[in-house]
Amino acid sequence: MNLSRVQQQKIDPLLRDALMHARPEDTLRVVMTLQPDEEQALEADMERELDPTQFHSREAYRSALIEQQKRRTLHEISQTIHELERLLTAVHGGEMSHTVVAEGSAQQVVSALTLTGVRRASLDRPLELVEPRPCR
Amino acid sequence: MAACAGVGERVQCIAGAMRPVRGGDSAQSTVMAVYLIRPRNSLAVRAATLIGKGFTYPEREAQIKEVRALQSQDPLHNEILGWIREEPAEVLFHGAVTGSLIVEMAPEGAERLRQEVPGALVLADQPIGVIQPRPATASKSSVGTGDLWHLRAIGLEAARQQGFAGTGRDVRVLVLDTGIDATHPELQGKVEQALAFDPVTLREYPIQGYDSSGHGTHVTGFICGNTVGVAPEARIWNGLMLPQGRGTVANFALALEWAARQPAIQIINLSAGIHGYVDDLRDAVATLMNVGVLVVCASGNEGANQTRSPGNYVEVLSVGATTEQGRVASFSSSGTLVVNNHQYTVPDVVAPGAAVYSCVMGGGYAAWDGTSMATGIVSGVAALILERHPMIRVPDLLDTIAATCHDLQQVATRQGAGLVQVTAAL
Repeated sequence: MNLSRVQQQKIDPLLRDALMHARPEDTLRVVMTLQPDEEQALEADMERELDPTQFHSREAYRSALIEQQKRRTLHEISQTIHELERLLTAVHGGEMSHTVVAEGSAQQVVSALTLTGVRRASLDRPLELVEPRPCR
Repeated sequence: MAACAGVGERVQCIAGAMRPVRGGDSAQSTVMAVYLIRPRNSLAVRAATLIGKGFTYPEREAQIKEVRALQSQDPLHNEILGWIREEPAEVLFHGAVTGSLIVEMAPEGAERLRQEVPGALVLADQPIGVIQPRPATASKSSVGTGDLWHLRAIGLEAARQQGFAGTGRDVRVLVLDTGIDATHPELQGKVEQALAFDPVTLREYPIQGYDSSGHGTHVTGFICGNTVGVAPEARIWNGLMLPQGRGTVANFALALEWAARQPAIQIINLSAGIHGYVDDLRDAVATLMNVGVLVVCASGNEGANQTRSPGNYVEVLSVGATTEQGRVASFSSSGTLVVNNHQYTVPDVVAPGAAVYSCVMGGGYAAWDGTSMATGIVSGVAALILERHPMIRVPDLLDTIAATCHDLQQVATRQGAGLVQVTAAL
């Protein structure tokens, strides 16, 4: 599949290789980092930082932080998430962070890479345990 | 005729450079194979009595010169070389001292060499596998204080002797690993939740507490084990993310997203990673810090100048390993990174991680080597500090842990801030 220069700059070598050799209908799973909307991100940065001593427990403090983060993330990337949901078969995550896992055909992934809200995309890959070593 | 040039280095035989080789008139491609070829009776053995045996630099230099001279005069060695030059073969390596040749040639040629030069040893190249890590020494049914050097090294044994009663009570630690054997006597009643993150469906689902390979059980022992653990009253959430030690980045990202939404979790213990710097997970990890979760991560077991992600993210507490002798373990990964014009080193801190005893699946104990082990110990220390200072912000917690480390007098790139101590929890 053909990729524009902008699309190529957003992807890791594994995804580039996969897209180069994939048929348009081949299904891919990619990890995407989304670009927060600048205006919204600026607004979020100006939001008051929560003071843990104002809460009766750490759990209550964390609950407040979670709600704050959810609001912030929704403002920053919800538009891009909607666009991805329209283009791709499935989009997971994106509620708390700017990282989403997207699934779709190679053709759909290439289309998603044209979105300005998609900053980076990588092909899903194995993750290894840090294996213990022989004990001497 | 194959014309070879150079000695003791990779050399090219012009006539044998074409692969595959077409044999005779048949124009059939011949499969080439790699062989190790040398005189059957090694010159080094035959010449042993002729060559000096000193170990000083000039003596060693003289010995090498002597052996090279003998090698070049060895009739058998020269016969083998001459035979190969007549063949469509490529000499990939010529060891001037050992007299060994690594040659790419057709199997038929190798067979003829065996028959025509009986003094030649012709060995087909074989794949060599790595020696897989052997995680356990002989296991024990119980451990004594002599086995618990890790608790001494972080100052916990002395603190307890002086009346310190911190146990990490009710601090919740999510262990994203291979699972946990919750039936181990050290861990009974401590695993509050157990769930798996399915790498195919990307959904989490509850499981009965079990460990798919034993790694998670060993790590968890350091966090909250009754005798081997640092914070025996910490509560554990068992997140099976690496069944049999294997997971995927997508699954990991969603496990982190899930963890970020759980108000009860205060610490995440991670022992997984991808070699090098891969920023796919960085945003998800940074989010955890934003929502008040400390992420403690193993730096890796590959030694100096090699790191893994997410253990090399600036947003985690990256942990290396030390030996009982108070040195950074040779396997402990470390490195200097420059990300977005910001330079920093990993690990942030070190903790005991060489020959440290903890729980094994099904009961008993074994000593393992690894930064994963050190990571469990640091998570335990963090739980003690959170018990003492429950409203501390994560950046302040990171600073506190680093500020109270014991300087091992090793370079910062290897030891970070130094050996973790329980001082801040006292």
